[in-house]
Order: sequence, then C-alpha cells, then structure tokens
Amino acid sequence: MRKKGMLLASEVLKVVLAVISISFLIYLLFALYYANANEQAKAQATEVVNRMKDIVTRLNSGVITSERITDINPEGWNIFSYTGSERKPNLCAGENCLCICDEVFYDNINVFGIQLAKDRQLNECDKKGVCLAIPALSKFQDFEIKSASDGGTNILISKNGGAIVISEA
Amino acid sequence: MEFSKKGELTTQQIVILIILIVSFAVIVFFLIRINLGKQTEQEICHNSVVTRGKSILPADTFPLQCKRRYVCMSSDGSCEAMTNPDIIRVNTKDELYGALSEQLAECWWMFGEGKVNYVGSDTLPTLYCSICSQIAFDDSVGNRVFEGTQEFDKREFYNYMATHTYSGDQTYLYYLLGTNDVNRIYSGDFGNVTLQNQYYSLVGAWSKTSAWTWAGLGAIGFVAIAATGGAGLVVGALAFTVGGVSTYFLAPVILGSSGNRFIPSTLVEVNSRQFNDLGCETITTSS
Repeated sequence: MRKKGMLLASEVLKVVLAVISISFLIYLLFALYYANANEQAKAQATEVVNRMKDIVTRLNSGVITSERITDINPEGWNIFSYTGSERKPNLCAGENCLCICDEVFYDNINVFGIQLAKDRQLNECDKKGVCLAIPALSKFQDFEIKSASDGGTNILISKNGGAIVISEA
Repeated sequence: MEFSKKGELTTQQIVILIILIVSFAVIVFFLIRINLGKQTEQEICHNSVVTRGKSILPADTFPLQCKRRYVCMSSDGSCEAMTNPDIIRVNTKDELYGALSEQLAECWWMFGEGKVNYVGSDTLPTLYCSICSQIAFDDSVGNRVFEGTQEFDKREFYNYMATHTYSGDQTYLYYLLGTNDVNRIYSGDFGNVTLQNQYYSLVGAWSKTSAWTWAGLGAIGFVAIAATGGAGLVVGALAFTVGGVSTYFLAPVILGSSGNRFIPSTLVEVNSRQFNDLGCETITTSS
C-alpha cells in the first residue's frame, strides 16, 4: 500500500512534466499554423484595402459618387472604423481610418476598477491587421466579413457631402 | 525505511523543481525588463539586409526581417497618441533632437549605411522605402519643451546633427550624409516638423541602374549640389519642383559605396504629400 503511494508521487511528477511538454508542443504547432494562416489573411486584407484606397481617391477627385466592392476577404475578420478622438491603432497615425482585422474575444474589461486586457483590439489590428487612413471617414458599426457560403460580404463606399461613408451592402 | 528514503527524495525533487521554476521566472522577468528583444530585432533586420545584399540570388529570394517600431517622445512619460509605444522621455530641445538623431542613426545602421545593395537591379531606378520607426510626440513635448509652439524647424534639427557626436569624432550628420555642412544638403527651406503629426524614420534605396538612365529622369527634380561627389557623399536633395523652381524639401540623397543612390534616414510625415511625392514603390518593412 505504502509502496504504491510512493510510486504515485514520482508518477505524478512525470505526468505533470509530460503534460507540460505536450502542451508546449501543441502550442508550437498551433502557433506555426496560425502564423501561416494569418499571413494569408493579411495579404487578402491588404488587397481589399488597396481596392478601397483606389475608390476613395476616385471619390475625392469626383470621378465617381459611389462604388460597391464584392468578394471581400478574409472571411471571419471584421471591418472597424476609428474616428474622432477615440483611441486608434498606431497604423492610423492619429487620423480617421478603417482597419480590417480579426475581432478579439474580450477587450478593455473593467474588474473592480482594474482595467484588464487593455487595447487588445487596437493591438490586434496593429500587429496582424491592415489599416487605411481616410481623413473624411464617417463612423460606422463594425461588421464581420461573411464566407461565400453565407452570401459573402459586399461594401458600398460613397461620398456624402464631404464625408466618406462605408456600409455593408 | 525504504518509504522514508523515497519520500525524502521526492521532497528534494519538488524543492529543486520549485527553485528551478522560481529562478526561471526571475531570469525571464529581468530579461523582459532590460528589453533585449529590441536589440535582437535590430540585429535580425541588419543581418537580413546584409544577407540579401551578399546573395547571388535575386533580392526577392530573401525577405527583409525588419519590423516597424512605434516610438513616442514624451516629456511627462505618458503618450495618448499611440498604443503601447516605446516611450522616450525628453525634457529639452537637445534631448529631443538627440533622441531623434539616435532613431535616424539606428535606422541607417540597420539598412547597411549605404554599403549594401539590398534592393537589386531594375531597368528603371525604383525607390524602395523602409520604415524603421513611426514617431509620435506627446502633448507634453509641445507644452513643456517648446513652450506651446507645436512645431520646430527641420534645419535646426539638421544643425543639431551637424554639431553633436554620434561615435568617435563623427557627428550624426557626417555619419548619415558624409558632411557637416547643412547648406550642402539643401540651401532652401527644410520645412517644419509639426508635433501633432506623426513621422516615419525612413530609409530609401534606388535599385541599381546605369548613370545614363539617371541622367534622363526628371519627374521629381534633383537639385544637384555635388553631382560628381564620390561614394558616401551628398549628391543632392530630393525637392519637389514646379517649373524648375524647388517648392519644398523632400529628402537628402547620397551615392552609397554599393553603387546605389540612397535616402539616408530622414523624417517624413506619415500619409503626407511629402511621403506620397517620394513615390516609394514598396515599403519593405512590416508593421
């Protein structure tokens, strides 16, 4: 009985070490996979932002008054707007901007007066997303880019007065 | 007897494990505190630039491993203009100019000081830009250091670099441009740095091409001051020109010892006309 108990102590130690090692290996595997997946998603977001930039330039020069973009990627990411005096990602350089990046699950949580997970969404956009500075951008509610099987996401970019208005179409 | 012996061994193992874990945590804590990562990122970037320059394979084969840093100059230690920046505390003009000079010198070192052709060759010269850092100024800099004035003259900053030592007896300006004479860079108005705006610390490199191709260029005017200058010397300044008259200063240009023309690290306003007029083909640094 005692002998079995003794074995248990050393076995527990081995199991704990094994669990830590396996967890670390699983983490490495996921990190490797997501690093690659994120690069692809970022490339898609950059392409969408470049199309938007081109449209905004044509809107500002008066060549067009509105234009719709279809086939928006990457699916699952969100389109955010940052305007006025609200805190913005560094990529916006202090100007009004829109960003395409993944939405974080929790952000700026206040627990008994202590702020946790500060600026997680801004950091996510800075590190993994893409932003486009549009000084005349109007604030819009952020929306998720849907997959093609769910109907996809289209965006309408138009000019209203002096403001650039972006909406899900 | 056997139980006691094995029990002691297990306790000993646990104690050793706890000591190891605590020691590891303490070492990690101090490593994070001294921020060796910053140094490592600069080294990685510099190494990738050199590797790319030395390779016999096309330049695109080796992507540059350079990341943009977010830096905020602040007098009171706070910075509302950026999220999680590296904050540099400055309390005087000289401290601010010194910190900016360090940023530029660091950037120039990372991209090979004009000695490395890391952008390859093209039929037409193409300007490849690299952003080392994005610099913001906290409100406290304007209020305390500049006593309410929200800008400073770039010429004053260049004068600082011409008179302050970078290493040995070499000034910052000499390190970057091979001269201590600010007028040799550009005799006109350098323009101002507005503290409400953000600036890139940017290096540019034109892909290699023949001198004849350069001679035929004229979309953006080259105000050549010493067109026959040797490697490492200022060969001119990029200035936006209209009707042959330069309207504003964009950046100095040197001929590097690699044979490429370079824009040594310079401050360029983010998303500005100045930045767009540079006509950077590609930004070779990631955010």
